[in-house]
Amino acid sequence: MHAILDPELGGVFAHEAVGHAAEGDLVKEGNSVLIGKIGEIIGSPQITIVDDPSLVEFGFCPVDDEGSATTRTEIIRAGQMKSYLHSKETMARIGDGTPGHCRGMAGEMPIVRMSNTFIENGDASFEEILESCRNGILLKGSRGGQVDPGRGMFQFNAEYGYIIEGGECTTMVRDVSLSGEILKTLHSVSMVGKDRTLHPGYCGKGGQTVPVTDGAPHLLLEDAIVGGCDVC
Amino acid sequence: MPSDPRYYDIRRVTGEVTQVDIDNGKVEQAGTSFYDKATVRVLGDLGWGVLSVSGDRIGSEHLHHNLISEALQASAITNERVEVMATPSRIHQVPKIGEDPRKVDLEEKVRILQDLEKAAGGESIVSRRVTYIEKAEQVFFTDSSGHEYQYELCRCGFSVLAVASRGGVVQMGYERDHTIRGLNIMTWHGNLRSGPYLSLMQNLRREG
Repeated sequence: MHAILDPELGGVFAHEAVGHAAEGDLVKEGNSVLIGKIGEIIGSPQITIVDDPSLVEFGFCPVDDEGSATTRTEIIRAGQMKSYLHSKETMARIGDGTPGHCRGMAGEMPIVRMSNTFIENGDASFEEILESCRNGILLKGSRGGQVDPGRGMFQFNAEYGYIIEGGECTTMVRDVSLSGEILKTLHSVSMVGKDRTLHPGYCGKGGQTVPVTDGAPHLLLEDAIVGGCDVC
Repeated sequence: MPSDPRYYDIRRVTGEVTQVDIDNGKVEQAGTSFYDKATVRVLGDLGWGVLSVSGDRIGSEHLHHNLISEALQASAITNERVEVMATPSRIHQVPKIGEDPRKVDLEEKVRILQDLEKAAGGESIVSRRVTYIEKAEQVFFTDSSGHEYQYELCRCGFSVLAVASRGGVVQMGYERDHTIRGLNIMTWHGNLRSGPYLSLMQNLRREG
């Protein structure tokens, strides 16, 4: 069915499904579906995904924890894979990316981490997205999930949702989840909103927790795999 | 015995963390802890030697030299050659913050958070929890290329969790706001019955 992801769930997708797979250490270990994809079209031309530690939001890093300058990195631009996220070590080993993404908690070895990760705005209004969806489901918020960046699979639980009928939100539903293949889902994005919001939180990796934000505008996915859906 | 390091860096982080947890009207914890830690990384002939030490061991150049030697010796047990790339280095200005959370005493924060927690109540809400966390860190960094940086960054924020129950069905709602712009709970508290906090609570109840 067609599914609209709200900015919170879209942001979770950008961070968990794409961002982690773009981390240079996972690429180095062979545990990323994005290995060998630099320069390839891996998603809809409407999709640009960025990680920007220089953005003054909750994941802001004035300089990374190896002293490298932090700068905006386009992981995907207009559907094309552009860049991995790197430390000094992974940059030397893998290349094809930008250093300045190395962070560590106090007293810990810094490793490749995200910071402020988001899907850039498109040009569609939420009303246009609803109308174009016509019949489907609006998924709101995030309640956890799981990702296998190596196999390229994900499953995210929304907080709740609304059935969309005739371009309007109708019945509220709960226990809804979105699952699928990361690359297939990137290709299935047919509309991107212009209402991007960023959400602060914390990301855990390698036993370390760092502050981050993730975000997106509303996104329309065609033929998404939606499960659960208990009517309220 | 390894030769001179190919690269080294030293990062010292001094910080304080304040956390408050309020669960169904009861203050479960409210307090501040302090830390001062340093990481010394040295790239020897092959791989990394890393020391994690108390920050007060980072002082004079003499102390740096001793720690670097110690980490260099540790690197001798590695057996895979690691390369690092020389990278551009500069620091962005840290933005000015509004109200510094460290200047607001813990008792006042607890009072505000108790009000936020009560405001999350309502019809069908059977459980509420508010968590506040604040972390202020001073970071000092130096490396073998002669780069040296120092900055201070304070992050704070809160989360509200509410559980609703109706007819045997239970649903959880969760909202949060964290920032590097200064203490934000005052702004939320000032708008308890209107504006952004009302919208946040409406979201919470809708989810419940």
